[in-house]
Amino acid sequence: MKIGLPIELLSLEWVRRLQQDITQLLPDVRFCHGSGSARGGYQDIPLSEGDACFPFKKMIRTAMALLPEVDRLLIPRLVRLDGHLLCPNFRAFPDLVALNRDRLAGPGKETAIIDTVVEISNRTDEERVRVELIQALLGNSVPTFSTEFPKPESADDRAAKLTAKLGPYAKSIALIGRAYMVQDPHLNMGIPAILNGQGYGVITPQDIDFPTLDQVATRNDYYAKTMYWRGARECLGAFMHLTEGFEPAGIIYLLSFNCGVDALVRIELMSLHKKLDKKIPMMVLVGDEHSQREHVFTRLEAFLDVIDGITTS
Amino acid sequence: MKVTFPHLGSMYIFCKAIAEEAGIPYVLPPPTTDKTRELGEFHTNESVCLPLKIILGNFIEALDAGADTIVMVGSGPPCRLGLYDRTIKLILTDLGYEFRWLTIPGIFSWQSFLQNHDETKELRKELTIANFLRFPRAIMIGWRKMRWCEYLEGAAAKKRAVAVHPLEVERWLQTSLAALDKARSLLAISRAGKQAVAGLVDIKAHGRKPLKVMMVGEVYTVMEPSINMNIEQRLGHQGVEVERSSYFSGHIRRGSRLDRGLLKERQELMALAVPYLKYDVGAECNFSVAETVLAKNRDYDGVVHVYPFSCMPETTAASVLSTVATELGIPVLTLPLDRKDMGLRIDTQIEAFVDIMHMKRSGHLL
Amino acid sequence: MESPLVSPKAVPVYLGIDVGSVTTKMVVLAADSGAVLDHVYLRTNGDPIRSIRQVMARIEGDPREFQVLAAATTGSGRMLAAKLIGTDLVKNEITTHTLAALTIAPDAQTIIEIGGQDSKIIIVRERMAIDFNMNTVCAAGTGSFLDQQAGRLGMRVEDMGEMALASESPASISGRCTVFAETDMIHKQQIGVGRNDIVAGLCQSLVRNYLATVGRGKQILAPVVFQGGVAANKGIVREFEKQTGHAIEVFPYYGVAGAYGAAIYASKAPGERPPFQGFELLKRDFTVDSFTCRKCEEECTVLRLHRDAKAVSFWNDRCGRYSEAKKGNHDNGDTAI
Repeated sequence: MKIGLPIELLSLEWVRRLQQDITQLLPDVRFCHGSGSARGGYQDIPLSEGDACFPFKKMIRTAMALLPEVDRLLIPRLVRLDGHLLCPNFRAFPDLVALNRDRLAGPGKETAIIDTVVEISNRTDEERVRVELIQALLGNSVPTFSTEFPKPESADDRAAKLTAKLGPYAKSIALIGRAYMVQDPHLNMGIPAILNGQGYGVITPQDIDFPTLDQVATRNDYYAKTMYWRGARECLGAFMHLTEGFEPAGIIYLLSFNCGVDALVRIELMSLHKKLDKKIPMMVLVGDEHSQREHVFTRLEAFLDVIDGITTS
Repeated sequence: MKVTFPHLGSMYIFCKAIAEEAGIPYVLPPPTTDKTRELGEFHTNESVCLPLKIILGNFIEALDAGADTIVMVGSGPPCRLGLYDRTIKLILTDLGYEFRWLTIPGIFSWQSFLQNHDETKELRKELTIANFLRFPRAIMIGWRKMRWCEYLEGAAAKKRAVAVHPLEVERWLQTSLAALDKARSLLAISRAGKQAVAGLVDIKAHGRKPLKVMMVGEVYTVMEPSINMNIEQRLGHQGVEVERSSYFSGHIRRGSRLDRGLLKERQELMALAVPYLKYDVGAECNFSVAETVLAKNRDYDGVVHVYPFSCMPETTAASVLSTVATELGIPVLTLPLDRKDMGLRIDTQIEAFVDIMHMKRSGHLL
Repeated sequence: MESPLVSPKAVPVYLGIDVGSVTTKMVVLAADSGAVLDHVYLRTNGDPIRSIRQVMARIEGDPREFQVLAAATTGSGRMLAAKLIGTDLVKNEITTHTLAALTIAPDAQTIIEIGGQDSKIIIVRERMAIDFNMNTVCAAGTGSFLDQQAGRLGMRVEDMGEMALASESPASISGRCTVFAETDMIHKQQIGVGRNDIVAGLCQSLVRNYLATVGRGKQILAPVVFQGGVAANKGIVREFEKQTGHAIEVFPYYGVAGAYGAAIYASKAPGERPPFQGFELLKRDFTVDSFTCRKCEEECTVLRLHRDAKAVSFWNDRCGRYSEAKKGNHDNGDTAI
């Protein structure tokens, strides 16, 4: 069975564990992720994409491109991971793809979409969701689960990996952003590679275990005013954690134009940045569908000049 | 203590009444203007939704005018409204303002109760027994005024569409709301309301059947004229009766979870959106779609979908409605709003929308 | 107000005027046959009064002695035009474009219009408009942009089409906004990409943007009618055909479609029309100015028409204190501050 799972979702760690789980339990399954560079021609996406953020538009385009190639399209309805909500676009993702699919002129109309609701706050939830999802995939025949759902990497393993990653570099830059922004080459505008090429290690929020980041982010919460999105907590937590212990040479905040979550996180990060005791240069980069590599490269070059200037004086 | 609150249509009459009746000094934020919006824009960024910018602007202007305690309605995830107080507090503090903050919980939960308790600890010290004793009556007066305001606004929407001189309806509405605002007792409120209703009858109608439209979309945008570019009025002057999907009192009654009937109604409404959205996307997203289906079922002539540019749930709703509307066979005018300089653009689109609705009714082009 | 002597040779006509931000258009339709007797397309150049005067001069001076039975205005300057020529027939440009298209192509299902400053799409089913969209947030590529780029590249807009058609590999041009598109084009030129490919890339980008923003979510069915000055560009027409998969019919009066629709609207207006006063514009001194009324926090910019230095008409006030004032009310705005 060929299962489509849009490549953008793979940037989320839980989704990678899900894929690992399914591959272990169902050896006949082959995954197809699409290239992530879907342009979304007029005839490919019947519904209006409106003013949605580019990552969301891209995810939908990738999903649509997968439809004719697979037997089932897996778009888990990601409501809550690690106890915190994801942005509301993830909830609507399977429905928008279904609406588009039903109005397609070409092939792909018959492909079923598996949209199991995913609300995960603990291990029990993970086991439960996994059963529901696999049932939905196989059409109700319950397999025997001989292994448990893959656990996330331990904090120590993650730290070791990070140290290894940063090993060859004398200095590092914190690249803060949502998982898909930072990892997807069509969204990160080549920034990690450029920074590495210029001799800087890159450290992202996803290199640090989420419970640590979550804990740090709690400092800015009070009562009902919890920053409720997981992605936002990841970024806030990473900013605070890295500026306290780690002290990167610079910080780049990479966000999408028209991302509602980032709009608010940006306000908080700018505020936190102003209050830092030690001044670390920070640059905010807003990406969208039309971002050009040359423009980004120029800005990065200038930013690194600023950093070099400060650290060698 | 000098309390202030954000502008949300005629809600200020409600807040003002409570403050007045409970004997708490208040500062009304100046009416929302371009300057208010610019203040909000300046201190945030381009992807922040318009209501946040305007409310921030309201508060800055109110603080500048002498307020020191901000009262704001809370809300919850997944939409950003639930974080408005956190974000606005941060911005105001960074700007150097000193103030106290009180969040009225939008959805009752232990967290919000504890937060409320904490916030009111300081404030309670500044109130006397007299203030507390007057609260129940104050809330009753405020509530009654609000219900009358909503009733009169609804009546205005109906009359505007059939009035020979629609501007008379605007003048009537202004006078009537002002009279309600002035009333200080339940009796006076009732009298002002009834007088207003009598006055409305005197406005001449042309007798032609108006077009009927449902206005759906993000809560704040539907209720606040300075954000939705006075769209109810613009449509009304073109002979269109506008029915709003969001009323402040409805939101309070739902949030309190006391009105079972209302909650059931809401669930049934959600069900209408299920063919398109199988899960609650949050805020008013599913309802914007559901209300469009409802408008079609009720044989309305059209739907106007208003929302702030960059509103995540409503962008999804707009995406759904972009094809669903045509399939259902009901004209939908989608208006993402962000700036005030769009007046002529909006008028042009409204005119065309009205033409389309007329065409549909009459069955021919002109 | 004079009543001109109507000679037996006078040709009764209907008049449509479309005052856009970039261009002013006019169409004269014969009252009996509906034939287009004259049409004009000229630059507004920021002075709509002057361009409307030019239009009036042309009609009055025509040897065929037009007798205007009724006139209608459309476009972003339609209110001003209506006040100037003294008509109450004002129609938004979306409806006038629809009227125009359906008069000549009654079975049209889609109308695409790309004008000087904005773009529209109108969905027609069973000979009635059922849906439309207009670009409200910036999107790269309307008529002005093509004009500008033609100028910069030293070519005529009319030739752009042929150049685009000659290209086999259109360059990829940014679609965020005109500034970025231009930057992209300059960059491509600098690295040596040929002009044909650049122009073709521009056409491709404009059409892609149009379909992604204005057209997205709308079901585009044939026959598709294409209006607006940009319809003259064969490269754009080809791109539309490629990207939608439908044949595109260029509207015969593509540049003046709005004015044509306005004239149709005038011809269908019921009842006796008051005598046409448009030629007054040529005989008397008309000026328009504005003032900010500060009587309430709205601070409306009120527009005021002067005829022979006397204020005769007001509009754009939200509460109507000027536009709906009874005759004899001497509030002419000077005491507004």
